[in-house]
Amino acid sequence: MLEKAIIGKKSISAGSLKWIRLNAFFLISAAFVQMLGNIGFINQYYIHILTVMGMNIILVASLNLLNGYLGEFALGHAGFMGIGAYSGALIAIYLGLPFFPRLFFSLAGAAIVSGVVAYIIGLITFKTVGDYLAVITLGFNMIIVNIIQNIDFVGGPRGLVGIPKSTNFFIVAVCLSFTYTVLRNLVYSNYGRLWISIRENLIASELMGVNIIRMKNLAFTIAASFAGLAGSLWAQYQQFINPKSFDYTKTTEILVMLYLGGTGSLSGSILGVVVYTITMEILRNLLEFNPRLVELRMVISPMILIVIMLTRQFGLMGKREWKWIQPEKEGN
Amino acid sequence: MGKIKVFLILSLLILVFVVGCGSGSNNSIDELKIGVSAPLTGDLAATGASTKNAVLLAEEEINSSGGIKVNGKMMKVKFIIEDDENKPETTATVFQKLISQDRVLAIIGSQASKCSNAGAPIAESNKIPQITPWSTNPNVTKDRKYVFRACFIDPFQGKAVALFAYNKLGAKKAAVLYDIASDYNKGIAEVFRDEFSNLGGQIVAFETYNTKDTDFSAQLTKIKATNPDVLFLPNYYNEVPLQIQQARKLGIDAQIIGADAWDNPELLKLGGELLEGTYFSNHYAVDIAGDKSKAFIEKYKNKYGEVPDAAAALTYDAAYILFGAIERAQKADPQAIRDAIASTKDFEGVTGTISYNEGSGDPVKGAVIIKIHDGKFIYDSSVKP
Amino acid sequence: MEIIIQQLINAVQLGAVYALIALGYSMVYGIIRLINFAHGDIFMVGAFIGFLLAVKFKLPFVFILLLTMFLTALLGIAIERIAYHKLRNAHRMSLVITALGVGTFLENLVRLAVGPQTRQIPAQLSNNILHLTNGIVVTEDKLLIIGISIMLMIVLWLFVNKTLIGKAMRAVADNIDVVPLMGINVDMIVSVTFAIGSALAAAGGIFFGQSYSIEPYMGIDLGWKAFIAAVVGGIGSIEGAVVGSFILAGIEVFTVAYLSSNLKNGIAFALLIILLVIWPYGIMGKPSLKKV
Repeated sequence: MLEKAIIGKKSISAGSLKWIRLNAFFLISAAFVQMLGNIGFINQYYIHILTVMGMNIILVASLNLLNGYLGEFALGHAGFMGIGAYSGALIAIYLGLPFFPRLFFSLAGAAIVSGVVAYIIGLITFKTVGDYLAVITLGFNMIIVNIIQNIDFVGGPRGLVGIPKSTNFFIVAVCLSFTYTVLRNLVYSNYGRLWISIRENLIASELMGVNIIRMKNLAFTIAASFAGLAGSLWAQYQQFINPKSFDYTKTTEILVMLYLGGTGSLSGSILGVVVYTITMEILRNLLEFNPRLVELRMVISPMILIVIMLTRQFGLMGKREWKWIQPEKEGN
Repeated sequence: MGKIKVFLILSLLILVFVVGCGSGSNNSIDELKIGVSAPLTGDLAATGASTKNAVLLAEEEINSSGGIKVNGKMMKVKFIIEDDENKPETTATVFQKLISQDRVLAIIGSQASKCSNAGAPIAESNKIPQITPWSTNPNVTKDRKYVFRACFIDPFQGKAVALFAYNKLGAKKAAVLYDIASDYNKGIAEVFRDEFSNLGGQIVAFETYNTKDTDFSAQLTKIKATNPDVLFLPNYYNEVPLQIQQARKLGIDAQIIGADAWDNPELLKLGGELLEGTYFSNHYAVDIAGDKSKAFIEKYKNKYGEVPDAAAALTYDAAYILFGAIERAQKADPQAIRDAIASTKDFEGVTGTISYNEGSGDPVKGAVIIKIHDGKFIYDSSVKP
Repeated sequence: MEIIIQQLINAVQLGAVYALIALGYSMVYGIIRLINFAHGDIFMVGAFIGFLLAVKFKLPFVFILLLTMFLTALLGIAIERIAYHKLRNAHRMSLVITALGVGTFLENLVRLAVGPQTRQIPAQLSNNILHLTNGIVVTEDKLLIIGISIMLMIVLWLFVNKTLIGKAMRAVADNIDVVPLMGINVDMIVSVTFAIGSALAAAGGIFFGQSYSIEPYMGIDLGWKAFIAAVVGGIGSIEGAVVGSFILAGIEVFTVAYLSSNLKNGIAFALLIILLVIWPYGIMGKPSLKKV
């Protein structure tokens, strides 16, 4: 018994060592790519696409916690991204900190503010389930956007300009690696198993003594914090934000990438974002030679989406996971 | 097994991407590449269509006259038009692509202020001149060296309309209905409110709605109760007819006035007789237009079968400001072109005479007030800057 | 007092518009549990077919209405067959995403085909202004919209509750797995549902296009509003869709009238959320069965 526990512990630490090595490799290559971009060896356009994909992966993977692992249907993710973007931007503009503290506080602050707001909203939200929950989260998304529109201090509908640029591809890569470390450890922890148990059978988990509402709210808060983090990254990358960027159009875009990749799979979130973004850019590049064809892009891309969904009913990955994301099993 | 398949698919995608992009980036030297970022799809698709029409017309004209003389050699102009979906995020991608991959000399666009604002930092940091035809929000060009616009800014126009309403129309009580979710509408509405109160008038109602609302009865019923002399609708041409229809049906008989976003032939088609006797401020008036404007309107009509709107006219002007700057710079170099744009003086455009003061991307430019009479836009008066 | 009554009339008008779309939403949902996010866009396509028939072919109004309903019904069936049919047993959300894709496709296809301009269907019916008393006005076309939505609702209710196909539809809604064993052709019933839902949306689109204006992207926002209305009323319930539509419209109009038009969305949705917290399954909805 004791031996088994020790072996188990050993293999976990071996697993996490592997994870650390993987992340270190990822970050070193990201730093390398960033450097090559800075000296002009890699086209800035590609770096931009990579950066946007990185931020979108954080958004999609965090929503995955809620819509994939917990099995709810939340429609308000862009709202929390917006809260994060605005709080992060305000911290970056007004605290007058030097680069690294500014970056750190604007990212951490954004995550905390989004998380706190989500926690309070969650207390109300999880009294309902299913499509009713979807409408409540959608409603909160609209309320958040409407409130920001009415605050003249942050520019109202004109948006907030003059945000210092702190985000680049490498910073996004660091945040992405942090997000995946947290999410992976959560998903494979007892919490993750509880979330999956709620998804698979709510009544049975309730009978087992799981505090459903608390567990749901925990997932909601964590998901919103990461959305806030992504929002803050976004604001400091684009240097301009406006409330309309965070309405349900953005939410649906996140949803499409999530379900395209497959829910309940962290690998799926990566794949969904990559396939979606690259497809859109390929279409842009293929169609631009004739001005008449440019407009076809938004007709072709939904067709591709429909075909993929028809052939891969559970998204590209389904619930499968790439091996390098899974922790090693006990005793292996 | 699954892993290999995924890996193959991914690498195939990336390969196609790189190859597809590579084909676009062969840098031919005998062409002057100019990027265009336009909202071809989404909320502002009609404006996007005008943008595309205007630049294609300008391209055809300049190339049929041989192109522009650069380094002692005539070069053809090539516009690369991209769809920014009227989304700031996509606009940023479009700007990055145009600059890093297509290596354009300058960018025309985008139209909505929110999109121009997202693209401007990228143009600025890459030192590529950007001319936005239609973004009237003051903060687009603020503190930026490489960003210019072809239109006047919101505060100027709001003030012009307030003066017109108070002095010319003799209005004492004004009501405003505007789209709170759109920066253009809100900008003008607020300036109008402040200026009109400063003049001694009274704002009796200041009501809002959200983009894409189609029913304004609730707001208009409220406005009717305050019995205003003028009703100011600083909203887009596709919403205004509906607002006027509903206002008239509810029995509001106040004088109705508007702003430059009214200027579109669609307005008359949609609004019909209800628009008779209304006024709006605009960049130019078709009926007193100079030869250049007349020629443009004629050519545009022949080519596309419709009268150009303000977005088309301003985009066309932006293109010619750029052509002029390239000609004066005499080289295909963004920095030189930027300096040439900044030194533009008395450029005779379709939408009026444009000059830039060094240190500002906003043109010195007047506005006109237009009256709608017999289903036509008729010149009423001018407002000097 | 007059103003309150006028605002009430405004609310009823707006509610009728939401109801025209929400009915189709709720009906499709009731049968195959699909949130058909493309429904708002089917409404838009219906409006544009009506526009083309009215402007290009100048048909009499009754023909425009019937032909548009028929063509849009075919479109509804085609969409279901091509895009949804294969996914009926898949994850529910895969269907939702496919529906989003269909919606985007329709919007951009229509934009390519007829251009992005805003238009209005030439008025086929009178739109005189009726002065009820001094200060309270209502136009005939708005009355007509209200009348048509109530009529459609009654027809739909009778169809679902009194006819044999309606009975089969209710059976499918109740248990899609057992129904085939009873000899009911589920595919046929689903097709009929889509046809009716789309035809209703088309009728709504034609009336909407005369009183308001139409453009290729109009279905998105109206679709979301109608979806919210259907859920607040209790999704899957025909009466609920109508009740939800009038509640949503009432809240919106009275927020503008007595609170603030700036915060219209904020306050309106806060009130809706309170409603949903009080009735977690919508006002007319039933809690779904919990299975252990």
